Amino acid sequence: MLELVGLSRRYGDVVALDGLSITIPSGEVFGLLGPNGAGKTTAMRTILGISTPDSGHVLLDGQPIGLDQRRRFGYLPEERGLYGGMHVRDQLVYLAELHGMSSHDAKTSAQSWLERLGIADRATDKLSALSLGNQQRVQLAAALVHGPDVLILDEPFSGLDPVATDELGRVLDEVSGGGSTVVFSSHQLDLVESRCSSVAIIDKGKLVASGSVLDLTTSGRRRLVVELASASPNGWAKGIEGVSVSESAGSRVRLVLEDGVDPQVVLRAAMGAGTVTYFSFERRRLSEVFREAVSR
Amino acid sequence: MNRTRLVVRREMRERLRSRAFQVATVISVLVVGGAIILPALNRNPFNEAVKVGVVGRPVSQVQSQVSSVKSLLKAPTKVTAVASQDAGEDQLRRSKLDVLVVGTKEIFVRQGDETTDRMQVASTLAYLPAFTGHPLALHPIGAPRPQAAGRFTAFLGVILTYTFVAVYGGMVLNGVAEEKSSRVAEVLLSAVRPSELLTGKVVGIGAVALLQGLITAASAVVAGAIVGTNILHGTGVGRLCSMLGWFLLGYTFYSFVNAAAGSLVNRQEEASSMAFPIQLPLLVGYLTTIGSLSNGDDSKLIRVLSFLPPTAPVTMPIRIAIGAAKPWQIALSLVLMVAGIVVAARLASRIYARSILRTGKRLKFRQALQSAPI
Repeated sequence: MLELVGLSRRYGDVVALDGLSITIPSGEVFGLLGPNGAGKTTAMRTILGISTPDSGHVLLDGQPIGLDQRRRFGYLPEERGLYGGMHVRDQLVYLAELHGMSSHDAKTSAQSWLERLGIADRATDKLSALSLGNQQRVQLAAALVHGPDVLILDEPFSGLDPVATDELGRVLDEVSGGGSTVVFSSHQLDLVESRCSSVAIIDKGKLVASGSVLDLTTSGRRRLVVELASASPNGWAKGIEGVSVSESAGSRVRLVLEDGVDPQVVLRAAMGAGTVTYFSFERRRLSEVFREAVSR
Repeated sequence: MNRTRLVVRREMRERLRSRAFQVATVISVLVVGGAIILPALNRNPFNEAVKVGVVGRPVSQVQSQVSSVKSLLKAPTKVTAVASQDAGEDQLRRSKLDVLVVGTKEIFVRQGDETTDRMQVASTLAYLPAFTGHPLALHPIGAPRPQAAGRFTAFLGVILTYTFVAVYGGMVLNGVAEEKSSRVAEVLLSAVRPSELLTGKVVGIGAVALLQGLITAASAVVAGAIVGTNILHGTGVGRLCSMLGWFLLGYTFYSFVNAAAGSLVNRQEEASSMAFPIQLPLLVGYLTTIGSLSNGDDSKLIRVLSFLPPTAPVTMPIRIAIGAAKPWQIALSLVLMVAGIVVAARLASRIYARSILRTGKRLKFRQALQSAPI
């Protein structure tokens, strides 16, 4: 278990972390979510010991983290960075050795990750000669090559195409399946809710919501999505007692129902406006969890 | 393996592998070797005649002596009469004459090392009569140039020290800037301390510089041995070690300053604009030394510069070579140099640790020193 306890950090007038406390269960894929500038990167750098908090501390299984344990962490920074002029394999072996692996283990592990990520044929190329997509793969391998106990990834999904996103999701599941704790950050809350089991949503350096994705998305007011046949009038849902429209696209609306509202009332109103083609309750989105939490 | 050693090993391997290093090594060997071999192969490239002046004796007598050994002499010889001994000596000093034969007792020759053509002519003329009568007394004339060989070595050493400190210091600057601007520093610093990364870089690049310096020095010694030139005479192992020592001190001082500067920039291109101001003191010291070396001066300016850590590595070795530095001055200069390195290293570590991960507006040296840790 990884615990962030009362972390605070200011950069001049900017408050990056404001008494942030988060508990991250071991062996899970954990999402650290929030808008840009929420303090995600500072929180991650603090976990890695790259950044020192003004107050508060980070515990691993109840103990303060020393440099030897931190070397068992893996890190994929938001601003990707490796040596452009260095050979891909040399680079991975070097990083694995810096994290405490023997030369032999480092070579074996580098090779197996290169194969696993499909870039083994580029092992002796310079990094700068690879396509952007392959450079991303090398960067991921660099975070994984020493078999970390805790893997920290800052915005790993940003800039990835759907195929690469799925590939990364599978790798993260595999890593956490092997017992490692995976923590990743994202500012695109809805895109990653299927990628993690628990999340912490932060804003302005403070925790606004946390828990399992299932609990967070199934709690709160109900979401009802209704679609009418095309060319039906909009605005039919307005004015229904206890119902608000959170989204409207074409003839499809996403409604928020207050407690005690009878969905049949909504259905009747919809049928009065046109032919109902879709009528279903949906889970609350993480972006809605966030919005509702910060507006409270 | 120890992390600093891993950083050192990477720096060395990547640089030794680079084409730039290989090309630079070949060029420095060729330049240094060539500077020694070429003049020795042909000391008189335009086949200039050795001008012999004669006074108090018939010109024809000397001319016939020269003719009898003509096949032995390397350069053509031109014999002329001179009005008086004073006029001849004056012409010698003004390089109008190379050798002056005075009667049958004395020969004057313009100062130089013993392999020059005029020396050959003078000594031949001095010893030829030994078979029939008495050899003539041979007097060198002109400004005495003691320790000429040592000066040449020191001169070469200062040029190499300046070049190497500038080039390899620049590598430290660019290397740190590369790690910062490519953000690889963030990945590295999750596994190593900033001080380990900094030390590893300075030591690794320094080791490569030392290796290239040794290769260059070895090529100078080998070239000297091949052509049998005497310009490296008196250049014992001690002097070579002292030169390497001053080079290492200079490199270490400047590499810490360069590392601090490299950690302040955001883009690699900004690094090159910082290189010149950093190396300016070294350049000033270098030019002052080279300038004063040509007239053998130990000026007050040079004396002051030889105590200051930024300029000592290119000034003190010359003062030592011309015999102008007293032992206590050398010791004081060394103490100040080491103290300078300690101060530079401490300030650089502080600046480096605070700015290597900081992006955005470029920090000034002072801001970085005063700011809080990352």
